[in-house]
Amino acid sequence: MGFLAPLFLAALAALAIPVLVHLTHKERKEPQVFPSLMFLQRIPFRTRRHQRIRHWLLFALRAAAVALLAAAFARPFLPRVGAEAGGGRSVIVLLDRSASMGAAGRWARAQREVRTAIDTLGPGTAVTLIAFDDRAEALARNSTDRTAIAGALARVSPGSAAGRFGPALRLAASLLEERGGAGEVVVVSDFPQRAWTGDEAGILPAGTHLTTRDVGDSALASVAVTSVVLEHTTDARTTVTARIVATGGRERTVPATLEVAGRDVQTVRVSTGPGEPALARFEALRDPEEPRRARVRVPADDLPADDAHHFVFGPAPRLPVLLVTRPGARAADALYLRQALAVARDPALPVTTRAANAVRAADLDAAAVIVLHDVPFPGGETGRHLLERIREGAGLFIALGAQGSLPGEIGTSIAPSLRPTDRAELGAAAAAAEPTHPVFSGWDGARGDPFAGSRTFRYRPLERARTALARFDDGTAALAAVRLGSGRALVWAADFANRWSDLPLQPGFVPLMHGAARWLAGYAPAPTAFAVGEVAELARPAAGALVLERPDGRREALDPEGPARVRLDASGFWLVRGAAARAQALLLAANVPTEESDPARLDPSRLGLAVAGGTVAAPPPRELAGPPAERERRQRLWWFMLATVLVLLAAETVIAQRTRGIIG
Amino acid sequence: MSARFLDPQVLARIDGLELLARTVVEGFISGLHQSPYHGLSTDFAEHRPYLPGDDIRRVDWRLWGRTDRFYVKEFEADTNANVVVLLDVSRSMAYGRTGVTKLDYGRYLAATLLYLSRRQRDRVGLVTFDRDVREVVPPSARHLERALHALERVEPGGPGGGGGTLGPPLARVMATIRRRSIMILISDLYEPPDALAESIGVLRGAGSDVIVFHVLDPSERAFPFDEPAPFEDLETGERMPVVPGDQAERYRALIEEHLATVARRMSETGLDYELTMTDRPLDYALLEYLTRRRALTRVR
Repeated sequence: MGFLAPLFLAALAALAIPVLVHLTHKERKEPQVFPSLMFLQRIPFRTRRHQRIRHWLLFALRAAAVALLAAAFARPFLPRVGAEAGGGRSVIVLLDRSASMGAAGRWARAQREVRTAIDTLGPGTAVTLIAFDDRAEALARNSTDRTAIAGALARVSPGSAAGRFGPALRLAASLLEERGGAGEVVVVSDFPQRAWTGDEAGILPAGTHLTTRDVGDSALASVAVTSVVLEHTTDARTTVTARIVATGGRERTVPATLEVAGRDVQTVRVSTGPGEPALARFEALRDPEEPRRARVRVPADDLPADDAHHFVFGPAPRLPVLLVTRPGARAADALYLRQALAVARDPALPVTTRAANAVRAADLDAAAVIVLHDVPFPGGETGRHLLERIREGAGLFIALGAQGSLPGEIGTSIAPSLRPTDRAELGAAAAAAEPTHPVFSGWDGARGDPFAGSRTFRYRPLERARTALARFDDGTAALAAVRLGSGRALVWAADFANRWSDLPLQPGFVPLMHGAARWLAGYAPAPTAFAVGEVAELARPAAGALVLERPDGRREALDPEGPARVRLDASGFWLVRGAAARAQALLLAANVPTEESDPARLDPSRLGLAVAGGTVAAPPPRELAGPPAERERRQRLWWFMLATVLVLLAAETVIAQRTRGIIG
Repeated sequence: MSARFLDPQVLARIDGLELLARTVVEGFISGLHQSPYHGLSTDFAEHRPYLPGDDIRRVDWRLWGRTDRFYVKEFEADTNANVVVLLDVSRSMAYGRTGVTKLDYGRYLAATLLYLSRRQRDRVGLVTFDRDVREVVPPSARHLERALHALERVEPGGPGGGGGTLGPPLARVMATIRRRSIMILISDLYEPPDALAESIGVLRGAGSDVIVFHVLDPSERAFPFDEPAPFEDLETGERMPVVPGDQAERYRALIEEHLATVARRMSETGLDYELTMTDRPLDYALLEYLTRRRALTRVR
């Protein structure tokens, strides 16, 4: 027999009361008159005879009543009665192993709750143990082998991923449906608010009984490093800024340490409190020549998983630009363009200027973006090589000007007019036709049109441009986009020398050039860090397989036939290498999702009501939750015990009245 | 003989001691095969019709010869003995657990004995006492009603009436009744046997015959108590905690020893002694009395 509230059994000490009553009868207050006391001896009350228990039947009734009363309040239940001890019953236990479960004491409580839930089941009850974070994994399926289940429970530990109820409940639902519908599900978790997305409502089959075991606590005090921002400066230095968030407790000052390649570089102190994030700014560091492992950490606390943020500290990204001008052109012709590109950061756009007749293949190979400014498209080998580079992925930006021309593949789709249109008096106004195009990404809508204020006095209409990103006020295309192989090309109908158009003088010119360069090069910033659970897309090598080195040092080869991507399921640094000996490694950093540091918690009863389609009652309080509480509620042994107590007391009253001399 | 009217608990319902006494005595006598009346005087008083049970020797044959009817002769009782009932009315006599106290039982017994004695032509008297003499009805042929009235009014242990011994009141009785009498003592005799024998023996001083009725409640012998309680002495008001159990057995042994000693000492002193329990029908006591009375007559 088990008890839900065993502390009430301490009331069994009250059994001493009937014992004392029967041992120490009080003297009756009313005197017994007697003709003469000459034969009676005066004797003290506490004699050996007096301390013997008298009236054993009454004593037994009273002791039984007290014992039953204490047992009834202890909420008894029989763990193995009736059908519960037999087969056919199945219980699914969902164990949260998300990062927040690694907080002090939570995992031990969770394992204890799981063991308790399983121990109170009958031996014939099959148990399915599912561990979940943002994914769900069945550690034991429909097993009655308690030893195997205990072993599986001992092997699982909190991970680094975020917790989500959805996957676990979906897996439980599928298992229940395999067995014909409703069943019993026990959820052991710290019930973070973030784990509930709202999509879990009604997942479980109707009639499923879900009970919750909350192992969380609201008194958690933790300081987390939630993110790191790298700012590259023009002098090849980088400033690291970390965001520090405190949860629980009071405001406190903690040291934040920047660690690069395993060495502590800087430490700053930051003050933070609940709801008051702080920034830890470190002095600028010189950019390394190659990516380094770096992290910002704070001292260990109740939740160690979020005490450090890992990131890749590497050189600033660069997109080399080759600017091709007319031979003998004035330097001022390309001044605006060069200056606009030179101020670019993240990525930097270093410019190499070449006269059209001096362009070499190496120049083309080194450039991510080639700009042809008022020059004809190169002919011969240079022209072919340039086209090949474009097809391979390089970008081409052509400002037509007076002498510009297009290669055949591009010219046929755009067909620029050979005869310029003169708008000398007032100039033509241009406007973005597709303002959401990535070319305009550096220019948000709040600042108006990228071409606002510009006047173009002469231009060569792009008569057949199918993708016009901007148009003049006469409707002709001003900026056209075209794809060629893997590469991209943009064609501007005027020039950037402030002769045909004053666009270079307008505020929108610089962000327009930066956006154009990034789009043309197909640039996407490499993340300095991932969140655990995210998938990193990898570049498949030309030959051989990719080898993955996990944060714990284990290595595994990716399937060469499968997709070149990896799911980062643990925090720390990941290394991806090509099979070739000299292949360059790709360094990735993964961190515990920031939401795991969020202390907001979900009311477990809400989960119980929602996921089972509202067909079950709210789960009982934590200390009464789970199968024992349900079993106790169904058996109602306390009711029978109290009824028995009443019967015993009634019998005691009758017997005591019939037995003279009993102290009632 | 019907015991219906002799059960003390039934008698307790009868209002009026005279009626009670008549009921008992007449019922008792009608059950006897031989008339208990014995006229001891030779002074003729009157004739009365013969009644079944009358001694045929007392039939007046001459009168039968003249009238052809049986008459017996009645004689004046001026030569009959004094019968004095000494009733202990101390507080201890107020005890009783069977519905009838020892004092009630003593009153019934005294009334019936007085009535019976008066029917026997004896002069009857009554003395009630506790530590001192409380009331005296001198023996007389006309004092039956007075004695019964005194019995009606008797209360246990008046002011200062508790405790004490039999010696002083009995000595005072002997100072007032100098004529040879039949003394009937009704008491619970809570005194040491030797003291009792000495006190009661005084009654024999004038050559009187003494019959002692030792009245006890059954619980005074059986001691059926099992609850610890303070026991209060009815005589003195003294209290003491008593835990029955082993003590009950010891008490029973002591009381039996006391009764045996009292009976022996009474016999040694020449006193007629009869132990009477209050649950015992009165006819036993009456029969005992008549037996003693007849023996006394023969002796005389």
